[in-house]
Amino acid sequence: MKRGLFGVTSFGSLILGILALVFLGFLAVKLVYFFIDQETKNASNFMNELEARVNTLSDGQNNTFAMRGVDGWILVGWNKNVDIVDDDETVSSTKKPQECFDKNCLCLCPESVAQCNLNAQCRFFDREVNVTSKINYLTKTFSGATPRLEQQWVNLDSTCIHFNSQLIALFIDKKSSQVSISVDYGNQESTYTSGNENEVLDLIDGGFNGQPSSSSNSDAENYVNFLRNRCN
Amino acid sequence: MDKEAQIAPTTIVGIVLVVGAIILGVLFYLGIFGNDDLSERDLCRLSILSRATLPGITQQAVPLNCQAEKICITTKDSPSLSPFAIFGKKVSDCEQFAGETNFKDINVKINGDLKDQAETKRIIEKHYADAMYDCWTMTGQGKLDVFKGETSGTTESIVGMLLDFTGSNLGTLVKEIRPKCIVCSRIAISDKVYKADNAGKYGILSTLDFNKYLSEQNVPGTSKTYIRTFTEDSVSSIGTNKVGFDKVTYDSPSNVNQLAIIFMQIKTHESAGSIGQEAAFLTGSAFVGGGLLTSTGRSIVFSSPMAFIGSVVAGLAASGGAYLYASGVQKENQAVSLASCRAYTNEKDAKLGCSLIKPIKWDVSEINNLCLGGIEGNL
Repeated sequence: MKRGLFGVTSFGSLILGILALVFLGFLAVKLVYFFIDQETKNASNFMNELEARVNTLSDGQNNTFAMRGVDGWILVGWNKNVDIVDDDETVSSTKKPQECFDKNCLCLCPESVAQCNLNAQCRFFDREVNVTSKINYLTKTFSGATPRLEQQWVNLDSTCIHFNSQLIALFIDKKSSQVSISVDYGNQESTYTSGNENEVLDLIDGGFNGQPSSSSNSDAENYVNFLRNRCN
Repeated sequence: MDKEAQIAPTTIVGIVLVVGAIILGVLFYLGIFGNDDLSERDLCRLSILSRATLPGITQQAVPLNCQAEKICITTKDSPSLSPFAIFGKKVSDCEQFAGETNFKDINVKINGDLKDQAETKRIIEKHYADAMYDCWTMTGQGKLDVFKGETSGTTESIVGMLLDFTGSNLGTLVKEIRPKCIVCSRIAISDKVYKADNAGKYGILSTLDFNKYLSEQNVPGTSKTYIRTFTEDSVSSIGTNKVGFDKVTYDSPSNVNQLAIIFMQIKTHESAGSIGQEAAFLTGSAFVGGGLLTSTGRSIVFSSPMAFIGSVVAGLAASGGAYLYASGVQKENQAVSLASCRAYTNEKDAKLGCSLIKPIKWDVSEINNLCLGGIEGNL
């Protein structure tokens, strides 16, 4: 008997093999799609939950909800009177995504506000939305001819909320004209010190009972810088 | 043509079917096909199992398909319209679950009848015990490396680490090694219950004794108590501790009036084969915290240096791990936590790690302090 490819002589077996390969290809695509799309699904679920919690509040009510956002994503809002971006522009605090058009809009975006036009999960509200976060951080600086420690609490207000994979306490205040969503990260003591390192160490050895000198930014400093870069 | 070089059609079809079956199995684990016939607990267990058994980097790509079980203890005795009700949508009596889905309302009777009071206590204690048991079984009884390669940091001493588990300095420990968590269950008491209880008039919530329940009651469908099941018969009883929902509730804003049963896992950079005395401790033959463990390490109660701590350590040399109960880890509810320490092996070597099932107040800062590496799964 004449043999074909791989010795397959049965046309039926060949068809069966092709069908099996097509099916496997379908499964592979579905698998890839599942992994790629997982973060977007999480973002969608989070926004659905957030919208549901806003809806549980009556006008004039407020409450704090423990939620977990999507790691690395940010929450930002625009009101209906804010302009939308043109096709060649980047979304910013003053230019909202096109899908928000003439609506009050709350969006969860990957990484930064600038990414809101690409893969954002947005929900629309019948009243203005206001998103804020604030952090108080203590900076420590060694300065002067005779170095001395100077400490200063710095308050940073931001127009977005950044999520990691931990819980976050979202304060939602619902009024007839506005929904406010805010997070207070509280006081974060920075371990960052600036100044001449040797002088700083001498000072510490001489009796300063504080954090050792560090040349790298603390979590607080990093977070402040992050918000400055990502929320505007 | 050489006959030996040919591949038979049946072989090709066989290979295709085997590969297809494997892919189908993976997809099934991941819940891509919906799996409506499986409970959420089953799906979570499957996803944990698949993650723990997949090799290397592929493990990180598998999301945990876990959904926290939300249990609301409420009462029908004082019916009122929930202010959180949305027309046409089922809402929980517990405002702690406002805007959330996948909750379960459990009705209890709150009144002066002693029979009803006993039954109410039993129901609440049972749900708490079942939540601990579900979490323990769902996450692989401490035997699975759920967050392989994801925790980082170092700790100076394994003994110190385990002492930390008993409550001496948990905060320091977790900051060093950034553990990850899964929220298995959330248990809340509705305002209706507190109102019906008239701020503790009947004393139902203040006399709940979860430890006693775990010691005396059998796991449903078995002839073993929860504690015997957890410890593989090593421990028969643990101290009596009143877990006070009332302490949490009456002193705090209502939105934190719930407990969470959390699975936490940490791993160290220590090699399980080179930790000397620490290994001896794990197999139950070392002095720890002023208490002596026997050669088998079983059923010996000791007091840690911390006055409010009482712990039972059951070392299970045969299974290569140790189970540790730490009572009073958290001051608020004096609850029992369950830990299992063992060597988790990967492609290179075995690293020592511990899994912990821990009841904790549903409070953002407390949970974040424990789960510094983040939370996986759905809340």
